[in-house]
Amino acid sequence: MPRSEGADLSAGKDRFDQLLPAFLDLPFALPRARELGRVGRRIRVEFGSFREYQAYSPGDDLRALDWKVLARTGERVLRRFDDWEHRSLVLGLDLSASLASRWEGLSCLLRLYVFLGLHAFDSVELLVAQGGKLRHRLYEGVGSWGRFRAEFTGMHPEGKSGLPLLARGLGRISKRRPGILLSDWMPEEEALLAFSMLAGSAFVLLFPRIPLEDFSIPISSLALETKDGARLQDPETGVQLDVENLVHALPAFRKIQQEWEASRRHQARSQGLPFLSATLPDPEGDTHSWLPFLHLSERI
Amino acid sequence: MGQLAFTQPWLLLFLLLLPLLFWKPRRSFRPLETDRLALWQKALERMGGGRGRSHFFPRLLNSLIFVTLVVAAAGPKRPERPGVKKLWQVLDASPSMAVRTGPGESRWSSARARSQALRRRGGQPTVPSRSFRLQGSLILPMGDTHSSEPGLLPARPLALLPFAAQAGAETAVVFWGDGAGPSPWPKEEGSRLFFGGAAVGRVENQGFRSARVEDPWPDKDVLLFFSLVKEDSSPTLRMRRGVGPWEVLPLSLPKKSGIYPLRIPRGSGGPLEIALSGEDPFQRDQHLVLMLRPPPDLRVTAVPPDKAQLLARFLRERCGLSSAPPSPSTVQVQIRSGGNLLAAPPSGQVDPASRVQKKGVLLCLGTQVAEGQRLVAVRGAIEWNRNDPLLKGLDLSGFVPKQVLRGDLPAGFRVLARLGKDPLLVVHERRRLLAFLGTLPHEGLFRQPFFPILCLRFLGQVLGQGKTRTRMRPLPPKVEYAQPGLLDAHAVPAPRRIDRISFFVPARPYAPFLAMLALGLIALAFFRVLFSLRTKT
Repeated sequence: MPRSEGADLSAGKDRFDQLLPAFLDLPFALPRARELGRVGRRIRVEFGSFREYQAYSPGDDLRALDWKVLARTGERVLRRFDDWEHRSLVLGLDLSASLASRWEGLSCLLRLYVFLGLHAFDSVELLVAQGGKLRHRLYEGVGSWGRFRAEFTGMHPEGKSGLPLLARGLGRISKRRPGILLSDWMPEEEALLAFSMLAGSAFVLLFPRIPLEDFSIPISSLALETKDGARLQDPETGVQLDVENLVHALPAFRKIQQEWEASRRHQARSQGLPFLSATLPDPEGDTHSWLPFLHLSERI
Repeated sequence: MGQLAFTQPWLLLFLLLLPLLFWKPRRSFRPLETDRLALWQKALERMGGGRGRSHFFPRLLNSLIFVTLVVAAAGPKRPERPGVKKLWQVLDASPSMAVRTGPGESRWSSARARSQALRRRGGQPTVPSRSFRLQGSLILPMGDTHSSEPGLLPARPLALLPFAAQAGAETAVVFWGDGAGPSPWPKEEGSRLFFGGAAVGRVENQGFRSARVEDPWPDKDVLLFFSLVKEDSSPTLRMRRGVGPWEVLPLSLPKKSGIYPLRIPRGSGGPLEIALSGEDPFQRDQHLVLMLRPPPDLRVTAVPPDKAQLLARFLRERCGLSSAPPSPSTVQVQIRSGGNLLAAPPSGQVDPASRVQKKGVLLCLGTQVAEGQRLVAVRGAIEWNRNDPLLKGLDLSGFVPKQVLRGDLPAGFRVLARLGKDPLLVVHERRRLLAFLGTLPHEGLFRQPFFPILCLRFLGQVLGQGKTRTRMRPLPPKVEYAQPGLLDAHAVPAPRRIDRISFFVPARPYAPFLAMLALGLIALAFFRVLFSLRTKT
């Protein structure tokens, strides 16, 4: 069912937006590479010379609370130092036209990641490759969620694939900062090129599949008519392919899709990169349907 | 491939229904955007098709079956082609067929190979073939034991005429021979071809009527050498140049074969054509070789340079060269210095003033007479009068000719050598006079080894103390070479190509073959359906 997504988002009544705060209560966090632990800190860490006292507001890190001042005066102040380590999440998105088929779920996933990133990190950097250009957006603090939400409404898949451009941009920012790269990983040669560019980094490569491609979802639940043919078209290249009987050909396609994912996973592992794939759920679903895209949090 | 006919051609109209097999009802495809086209393509290929191939192949197979069945029902057949139903081949077994035409190849082997090729073309089972060999006047069936080599008797092709008359109207009689004369062994399928029942008068191309050779020197005298291998008869030849009138050659050819040079005076140019005097063609196996070349320039080296003046004075005073030479020849003496002609008196006139030499003197001895007539007439070696006391000391011994002198000579002259009937070397009794009364062709020098030696020794005696070289070699003759191939003789008329023999071909139906093909295709389609059902389950 096509959705007039832009209108809903602009109105601020998107159901998924309302669902997002519920993810903060779940013991799940953003998917991270194993290297993430050895690279950065879990929270903001300040060091250096003392700079100032800052009034406490709920939600601040209690470790910075000056207990002595609290005991002496009863006021809650935070000790601020002149240097600190900033933790940011880098989100890469290959927004080529070929992503149109999975944009409905992927847009929700992107919002989820930015939302969680703004709460778990100091900032979220968003790199979007689209039409041969690389756009860079920086969102700092939870307060920048509104700005992201406003800019998000203008995003939609179009143009050629910019996967190598995106990988090169991500590698230039930092190789030791955590990040998540979302793409359809097509064509294959560009995917392999991106793998080699990101080799050894702390990025998680994520492939969001749609239910049509998931082997575990029964075909009968896809609402496909039995003798329907389909004219498959790649919106990026315009190439068409007629499939006489979609239901008949779907198992073979899913099997090849499964082999393709296994092959990508193996190739990414050989470059020291985790390659995750999960099926995009129905955007109308609850929080549990998005758990395959999250990792169990270490807070438990 | 021959023509194709159908017994019921109207059944081919069913082929118009063939596009129905490829007609595909237009379906509505649901548009679906995807970025996995490459994987979809692989999936379709794995299912046995891809881009519609899985549906195209069975349609192609079905259409093949349909076409095969329709064409088979129409009854295609190759119609019967009328033609020769028997083939008799006669090989010329004359000795000339043993002539080698290449490494390991002779005319006989070529003829056998061509006859076998013709037999294969006719098709052994449909057109029976028999081979014969013509040996003299006998036509013998050719077996394996007698066909390895040609025989020794010259073939007489006229014997073929009654043989060919025995053949029926549907029998082709082919004679493989090498032709006669200068006609080359035909590279193509040139041969003499008789069809059965042919009348004698219709048999053509028994041999060539004349031979033609192009003349590359139309403005000068030429020497025509020809040899004719004859049989018993002694034909009279005639010759013409260009389109001029025919002239009977003043030759009486001896029975023995050999090369006969003939001087042809300067004419109007054009090719030379030799033919028999009558209208008859040359007989088969008559071998005529024509060779054309300009007459060579004869030169003999002899006299030392300081003796040239002495020699000139001697020739003038003692030999009487200033006066008319004795009959019947004209003596011409040329004195050369190097390559420059110092004096060439037309009738022996010598100017001593222009004979001051520095380097060397060439004394050219020769005559300008009708060479061809004389040489042919007096063909033979020089006969020496070796008992003459004038030749004593010249080491000529052991031979006394029967007839030394014929005809009148001036007083005091004696003939020392003759060329045929003509006196060649005449010497005065006082051993002071030298005269040449014969023709000395350059080619004949090697046959007359004593002649220059004799002359030089004689001149040495004449000139007293002058040193003469008694051992001498003739200078290489001036030979003008023509363009290669220009001097090749061609037979007139040219060898005729063999007529195309159309062999009898029986009718052949194709319907059973097409039915078997359709059956095989149906089996293929059946197994394909069976295999696809098995993979789906």
